Amino acid sequence: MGALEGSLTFKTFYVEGEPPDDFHQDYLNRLNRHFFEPLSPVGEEERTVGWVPAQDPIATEFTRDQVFYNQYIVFAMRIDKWSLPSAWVKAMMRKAIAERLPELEAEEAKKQTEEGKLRPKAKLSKAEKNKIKLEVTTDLKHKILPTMKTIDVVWNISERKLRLWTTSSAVCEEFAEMFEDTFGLTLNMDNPFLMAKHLGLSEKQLEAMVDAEPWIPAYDEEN
Amino acid sequence: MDMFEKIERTRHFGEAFMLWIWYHSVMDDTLFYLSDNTTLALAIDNQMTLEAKLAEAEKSVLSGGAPAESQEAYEGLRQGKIVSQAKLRVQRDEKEWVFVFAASSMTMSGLKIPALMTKAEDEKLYERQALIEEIDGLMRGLYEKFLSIRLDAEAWKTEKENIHNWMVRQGQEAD
Repeated sequence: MGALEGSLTFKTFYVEGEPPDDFHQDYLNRLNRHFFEPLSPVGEEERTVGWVPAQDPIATEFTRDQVFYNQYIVFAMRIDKWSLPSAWVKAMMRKAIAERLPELEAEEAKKQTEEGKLRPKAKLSKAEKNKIKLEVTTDLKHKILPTMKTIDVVWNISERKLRLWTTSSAVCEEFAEMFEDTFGLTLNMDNPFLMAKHLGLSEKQLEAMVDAEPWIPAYDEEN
Repeated sequence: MDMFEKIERTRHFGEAFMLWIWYHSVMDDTLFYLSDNTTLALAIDNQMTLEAKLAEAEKSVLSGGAPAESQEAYEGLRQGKIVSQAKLRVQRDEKEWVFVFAASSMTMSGLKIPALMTKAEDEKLYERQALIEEIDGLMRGLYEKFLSIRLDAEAWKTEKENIHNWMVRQGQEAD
């Protein structure tokens, strides 16, 4: 949240690269190509990320009027992940193992009778435990919804500046990669150097910035 | 030198900018004049974080009251600490913004903007963005003014003397 309501905590990025003349249809298609795909209870994916409309994160596609507001392009990054209740997983695992053990013990007893020699105590192998865990988690995933997080994006196309409503470095990094994949444009996060560059400082002034040493008044011996 | 290195080497400009804001907000009675003739009032609000960078990493988080005029803040400055972030209150005309400004990344968080005038959803988005862009523009204008001094050898020499003298004076007042 943030673009339309709620907390105003964001990171600013500079968008490097030129958008095409008639970018509206092109960018709408690109957003729809990278649209969010929901997690499936039977799949192996634990987390999924994609673009959704900022106003309707459970929509299934973008419409033009959801995205374009004069100079602004508005959308959201949606991140879903399975967050299974560990107490339930443990309890269901214990139950499933307890149900499987008598069966296994009967198999071992049968083998012992057939072979006529002592067999080790019936125990589930690692592969069998993993299989049970997969069955338990799949069962649970059918009963709950994944956690959903949406992070708003407002891109001012005329100023080539973009705001992402988060301060998480990991999310910013993932966002920048997805943005580049989607639009073929690179992003640079705001900082003292790039801000100076975008304010129009000359190459000579920017070089002077790079050469300047930090100044801390307490350590200044000249004054 | 690649862009990453240039960005990392110049992060201290954000810290010097914050110190410059602190100094002028106290000395000039919160008034700042930008190069496009904009006038704004800016004060450090009730939250300020000072950090030691050269010695062992040590952080002082000052909150409540007016930390920018507290002896703890001046003491931190005399010990060689830098202001890593502060809550700023900015006013222009009838509008007011409050936010935490982080020096080395120049980012705003927890921004409070003036109350919106419109009720329509689409209009809310434009108004909200316009108010964010307005404060962003004011901070950029301030940074531009700081840079014009910081990158002018003579002007910076004088500014450094003034800030240094201010720091020493605050220490004498405390003694």
